[in-house]
Amino acid sequence: MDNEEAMHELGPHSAAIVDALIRCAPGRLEIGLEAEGAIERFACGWVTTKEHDNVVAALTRSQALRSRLFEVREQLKAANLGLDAQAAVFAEDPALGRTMREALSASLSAYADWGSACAKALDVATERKDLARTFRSAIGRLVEGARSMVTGPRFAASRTAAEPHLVVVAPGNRTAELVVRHDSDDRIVAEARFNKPFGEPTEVSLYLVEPGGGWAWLGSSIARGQVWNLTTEGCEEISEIPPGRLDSRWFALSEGRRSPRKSLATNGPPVGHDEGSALRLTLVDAPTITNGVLTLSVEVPKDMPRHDTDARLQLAVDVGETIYVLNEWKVKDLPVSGPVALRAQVPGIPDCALELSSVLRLSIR
Amino acid sequence: MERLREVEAFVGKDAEASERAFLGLSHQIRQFLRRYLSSLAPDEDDRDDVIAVTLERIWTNRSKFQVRGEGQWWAYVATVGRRCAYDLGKAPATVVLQEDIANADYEVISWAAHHSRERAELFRLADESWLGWEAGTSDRDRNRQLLAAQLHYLDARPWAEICEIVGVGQPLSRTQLDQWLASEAVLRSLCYNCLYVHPDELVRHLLADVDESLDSLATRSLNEESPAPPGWTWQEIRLILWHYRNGLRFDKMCRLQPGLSEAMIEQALARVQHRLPFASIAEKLVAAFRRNGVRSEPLRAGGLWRRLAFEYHVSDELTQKQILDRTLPAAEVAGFKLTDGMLNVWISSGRLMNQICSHARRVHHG
Repeated sequence: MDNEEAMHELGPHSAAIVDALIRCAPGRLEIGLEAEGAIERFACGWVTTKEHDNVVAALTRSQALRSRLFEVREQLKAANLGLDAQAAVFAEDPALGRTMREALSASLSAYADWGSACAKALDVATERKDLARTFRSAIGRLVEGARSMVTGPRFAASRTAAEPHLVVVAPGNRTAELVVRHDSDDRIVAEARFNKPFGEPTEVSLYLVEPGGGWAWLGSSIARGQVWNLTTEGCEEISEIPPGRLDSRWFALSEGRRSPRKSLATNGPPVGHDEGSALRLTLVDAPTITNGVLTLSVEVPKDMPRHDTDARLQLAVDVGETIYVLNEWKVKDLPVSGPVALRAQVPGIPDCALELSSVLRLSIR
Repeated sequence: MERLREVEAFVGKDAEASERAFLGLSHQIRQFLRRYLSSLAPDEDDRDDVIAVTLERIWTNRSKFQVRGEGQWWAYVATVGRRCAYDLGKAPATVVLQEDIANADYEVISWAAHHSRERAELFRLADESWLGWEAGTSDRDRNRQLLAAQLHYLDARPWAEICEIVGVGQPLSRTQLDQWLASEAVLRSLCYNCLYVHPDELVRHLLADVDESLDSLATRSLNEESPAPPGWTWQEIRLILWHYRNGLRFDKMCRLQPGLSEAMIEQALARVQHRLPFASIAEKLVAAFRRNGVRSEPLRAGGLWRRLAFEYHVSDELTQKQILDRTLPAAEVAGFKLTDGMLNVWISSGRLMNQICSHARRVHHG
């Protein structure tokens, strides 16, 4: 397509006029990377949508920037190996260390805000059922806040709401194709088709998947045969998410009816695992940040394996698409049973309760 | 159209409104005539004299102009400018006073006037017209696709990593990536992006061993109060900056520095000519496409070379000779036959401008 289509040929005088007019157009605006640490933030996934676009545009124009991006990505992979590796990488690349610490601070502050807004709404909702709407609005704010802050895999924006998402309803037994979409100003409609029919009418609940993996109940209705649907009102905040940005992957289904949880943290699913084994650590209380120290109280199971003396319990937090290691403990040093307070330095974060605890990751390495 | 309303106010009977409109229009007229008269009155001082007289005539005769369209307005300004150049004896005697304009031309002139104000749209149209992007593809999508191609063809990154980097919110699918990498528009954009070298970037490449900002270098080269960077004379630096950064012709440089001859300039610039990167960029692209089994021949697409010529002509205002210097070495490597005559048709005969205006009219306004 070289644009050789038939066209009117300009006379010489006209051609000169057109040429002069077009050359009056000022040069192309070059978009630079004014913000310090933009490439590092891009590499770890802690960028706004606008900054993401700016960095992509800058990368297309600079081989040097692309090389820096590859370098940072390699360093982030190395840093993910553990606390010592992370410290070594940040010492070697102070610009990356500085950016990651800033991103950690921003992400923890954001998680704390969303969590407390959500927890307050939950308290009200459990006391007065007619205020359940408040709870739903808080969830909506949480989702929208997350989506606008971060372009990470959890807040994918490119899928349309009408795109079905395969969810596990009962592990090893039942799955469903779930679609969640806006219906009107304050309603969302969820529809599911199960892989096999229910023998009798069964109550199925819809949950919003918390950014860190926890679930928040939105409502329930009866499934008949292979089909289930739910219309839930009072979701103005969710409905404010622009059309096409609501993602079915933010939602999950489960058999039965559950009340809204009083706290996402204390009653949420256990947060620790060791890469697929049955080991689970249960939160005793919501994590707190006081005087720049994050404290996480967990119950250590009695059957926690201790024969591997090198094993470490690692506490990390999601920063964009990257894992930031906060602290590590030797498993053999943990108490044999009962609660244990795990602490990590998070300087610069205001005191708060980190209600949205599922952003934290505990793992045995 | 806002500018047409300004013209209406200018030729109207309200004296105050007329004067106010003229203040706004005169800046645009100056900008236009500086370019339009560049071949008629090559000397800048002569051209400024012609522009001043033209503005005076346009003001004096304003009530005689009948507003019929923006195309007619600019044709009128151009005609008055040409006549002034003749009347003042600034135009070469060999130039014929050719003022005929076909009715169909006015619409194209009007389009050119419109797009000269919408610069982002102008360059987008150029990308659509010659690189093959579909109309309506956003800048964001073009950039993502181009970056994916760069990461694949130039940086040889694994596909999974490319999908992660260019994905927004979630990794791109392999199928989508493959479609992007095979797209003719993406391949041509990749070539264009490599082969177009901004004048500043070109000078930094030529003076790779000089670690100093070009602005500072330009200032120091003029006053010569401090020593030149090791291995260079101030005259060499000055000539490289004038020629490759500012796009000055040899005759202009001779006027700027009395005592300098064109032979001396050629000799000074010969020192860096072997460093010009265009042929080696084309070689790298050819090798990358061969390595990756690209069957189409994006480097032989005429649109690619038109797009390059358009950018050098419109954005950098380079002469035809300089455009040829920056395109021919790469075209030869790519196997595309590019000649001085072709550039002459594209640029001096207005083919490129006409094409882009026709494209705008056809694609965006049916």
